[in-house]
Amino acid sequence: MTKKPSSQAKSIDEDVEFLEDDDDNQMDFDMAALNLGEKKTKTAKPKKVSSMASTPANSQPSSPKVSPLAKIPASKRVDVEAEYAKRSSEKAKLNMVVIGHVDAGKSTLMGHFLYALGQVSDKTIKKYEREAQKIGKSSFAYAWVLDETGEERSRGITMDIATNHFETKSKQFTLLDAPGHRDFIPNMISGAAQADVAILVVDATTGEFEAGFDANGQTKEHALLVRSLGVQQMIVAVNKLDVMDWSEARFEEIKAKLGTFLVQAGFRKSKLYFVPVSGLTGENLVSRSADTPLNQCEPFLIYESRFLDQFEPPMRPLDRPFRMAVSDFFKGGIGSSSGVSVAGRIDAGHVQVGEQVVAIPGGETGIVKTMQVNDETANWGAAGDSCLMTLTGLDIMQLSSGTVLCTPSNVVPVTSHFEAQIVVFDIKVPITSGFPVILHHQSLNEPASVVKLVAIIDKSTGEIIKKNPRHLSKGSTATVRIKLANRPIPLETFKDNKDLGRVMLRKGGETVAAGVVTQILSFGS
Amino acid sequence: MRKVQTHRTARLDLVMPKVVLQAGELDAAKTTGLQACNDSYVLAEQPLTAMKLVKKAIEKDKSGYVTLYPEELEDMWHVYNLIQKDDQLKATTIRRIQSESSTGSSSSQRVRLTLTILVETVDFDPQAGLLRINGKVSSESQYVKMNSYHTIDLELNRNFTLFKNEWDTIALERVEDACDISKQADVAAIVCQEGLANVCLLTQHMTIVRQRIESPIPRKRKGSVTNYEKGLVRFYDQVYQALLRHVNFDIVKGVIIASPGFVKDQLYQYIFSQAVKTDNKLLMENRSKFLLVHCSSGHKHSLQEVMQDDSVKSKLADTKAAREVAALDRFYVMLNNDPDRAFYGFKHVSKAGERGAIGTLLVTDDLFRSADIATRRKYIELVESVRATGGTVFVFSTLHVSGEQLNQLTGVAAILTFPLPDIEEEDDFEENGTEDEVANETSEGVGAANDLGL
Repeated sequence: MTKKPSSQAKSIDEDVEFLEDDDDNQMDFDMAALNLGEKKTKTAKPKKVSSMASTPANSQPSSPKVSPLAKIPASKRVDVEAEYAKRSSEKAKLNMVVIGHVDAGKSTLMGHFLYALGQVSDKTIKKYEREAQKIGKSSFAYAWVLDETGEERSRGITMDIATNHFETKSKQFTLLDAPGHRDFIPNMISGAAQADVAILVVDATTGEFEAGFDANGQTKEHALLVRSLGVQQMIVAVNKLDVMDWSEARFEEIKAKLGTFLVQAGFRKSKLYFVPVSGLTGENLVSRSADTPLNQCEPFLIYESRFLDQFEPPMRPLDRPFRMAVSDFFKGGIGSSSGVSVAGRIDAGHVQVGEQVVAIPGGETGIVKTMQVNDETANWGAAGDSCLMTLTGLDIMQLSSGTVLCTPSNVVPVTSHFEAQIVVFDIKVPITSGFPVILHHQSLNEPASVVKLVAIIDKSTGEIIKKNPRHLSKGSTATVRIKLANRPIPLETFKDNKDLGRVMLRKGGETVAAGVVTQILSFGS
Repeated sequence: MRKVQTHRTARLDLVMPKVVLQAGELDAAKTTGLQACNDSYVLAEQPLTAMKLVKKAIEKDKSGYVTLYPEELEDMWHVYNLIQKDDQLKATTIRRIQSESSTGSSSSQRVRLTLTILVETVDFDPQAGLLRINGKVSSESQYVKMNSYHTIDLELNRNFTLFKNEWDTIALERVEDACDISKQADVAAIVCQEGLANVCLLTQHMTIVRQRIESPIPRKRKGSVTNYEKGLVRFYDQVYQALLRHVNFDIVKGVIIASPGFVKDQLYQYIFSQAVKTDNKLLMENRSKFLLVHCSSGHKHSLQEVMQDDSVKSKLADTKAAREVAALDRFYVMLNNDPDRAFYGFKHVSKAGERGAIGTLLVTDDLFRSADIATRRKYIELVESVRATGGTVFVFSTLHVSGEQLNQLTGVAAILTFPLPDIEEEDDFEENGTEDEVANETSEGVGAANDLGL
């Protein structure tokens, strides 16, 4: 890849979310969080910016392709941007992932919450209670709302993301319940990659919080993962406090310990909300009883609560070319129609019924026949919506878990060799060149290896500390080159698309690093 | 059937040179060889033994020859590692001979004959165990002109003789290793996760992925898990079929099923419920060979974790592969704790070697396969000097996951007995020239890192 010294030396920091922890700068932070930031970072900026070595997204000659909308009669076309503005003025949509250590009570908490909101009928809950009792797991009844497979129920453990929806006064939420067990982190990443905000659930009982928080627990790993995936606002639900007699000391202790860690991890104190709850009794979820000693704390998660409504919807890249990373697909359309159904979150741009889309890799085109956004039939969807759509004219063999749907006029690059800037997590062995990893990108996980350590970087100033280092130890920030072992995957630079430009590196069941793609070094296979 | 008879005797009486020296008996080769070719007996038999050393004759100046009798796939891998450019190889082979009669009509005929070639290139396909050696013919023959090119496909269950001008320690060790029956243990391993499985065969020196199964499984959706469960059953069935197809229970000593979560348990259940349904006696008899192990993913990498598992180590008669993985781990731990005592790359390692600091040397066999004799010698000297100072040397097989990893890490690494901090400094000094280039490339990523805020 040749470097052309900056003919298009346009500043790259304009759409960089950045985090500097000074509280008086709330406005700037919000701007950055919303990706509006025109603001320049205070950090030293590279003097020479080499060109982005032409991602096809930028450099493709704008071929006079037929508009993907060509097949829709003009009278039926939807002006998505106008519709979107209209819808946003009513209720903004947010995707929320529920994370935390295994057995912290994530599913029970959310199951109970959905029940309290009336999303689940009394009859269903009664049925679950009876059946759960039968297999000696009566306390799991609420979790069964989200854990629906036989395996999950009999083992009492969430294995894959469960999706649900609910509304508050000003927002529509898509709820993604993630598995906590370390073996299912790939699934958790696939869910968290779709999230804008998160709820971190921790078990407050003696020993359990510590077990989840210390070395082998998933509390820290999950928190770091969602942060690396772009989540900036988070509710921390301190669960099972009924077991601790609603001890305020315990609540404060956990708040202090976790707070310190989360701030270090890059969350902003003002964007973290700690709430004492009990998922099992339902205390403080939607209502609270007067005898709870912690009643000075606001209840959370209810319709009127300040917490959920306080989440700010991120700015959606509506004007970008359409991208949707497929997280699930199956034969047969919505209802009993024919075709293929694909589900996922729209990462950028918008799409409407009748429009043509391309599945990358493969390059086969299909036409959107029907759509559902948040489980309701819709005729268009825009960035941020989690949607399910039926495609016709596309063979299911063309789809795989890493597929990205794009607009035919501008497709996502496919690569097997790229450069990324990574932050190394708390790891036991250092990363060297040749280090084999599992690369997680959206719902995809593929074997890859770090082929070159380009430089270690000072994360606050952005200056290069050491070129061609022999190894990367924990906590360092570095530029590395990564090669996919088996096949190329669709990937974009972080600059072009935030969601498709983030990667996670894992090895041996642990997350070793998280990063953003800075440069794509090879195209095609 | 005469040929088969010869083979039987050859196998029983190992040092019988008669078989080796068939070269001159061209007529015999021509007639019997063609017969043997169609004789499925040779291919059908899969004995459970290692390569046989038929004859070894090495002179004081280290030149000489070795006659070997390969019997299984792994032997081909050993041979691949033995043969170098400029060696001479004598083996039976088939060549198409074209002849023109006095009237001008040409006829061609396939002849089995024994040829000696001067090796130029060696190709190996681990999947099929096919080894092709190309070179110039260096022996007189009735049919083939000297110096014309010929490619030998080395065959199982046929003797061949390899002449080298120099048999170095690595090569001799390889011969010894290959012929050691006690070290043989084949294990089948299925590493899987939901929707992905790799069916592999593990031997002492090789990891061969027999089949990679990828079957998309629809995820659970609100109110409906039938799609998910159907997909899962379809996936297990594919793995079950692959197991039947690829695992030869006469050969393997164990079948490892490894996965994160509960996939391994479910797969195990599925396999045996199917075995009962279809009354598969073979599977039922071998039930005790199955072993369930936890690993972090269904990708091939995680075999490394599998090999480290104690229950697996006991199944593998020889733990060479496991010890290699452990040594590589030790290297990484050392690099983390005391970077001045762990080095990789030939330049660094040889500097450490010069000062006698190497305690453990890790090298891949890939380096010794180098076509360039000087390079090979360079590495052999390193190995010998480390041994002379009492260090341990691990020669990793590049067909294993750990060897693949080491190979990407320049192929050579060392754990030192005492720290040598100045090695890196010297190096920094030398490499100053390339700095500008690096600076250019990294600058653009700087802003993006802030986003992570970690």
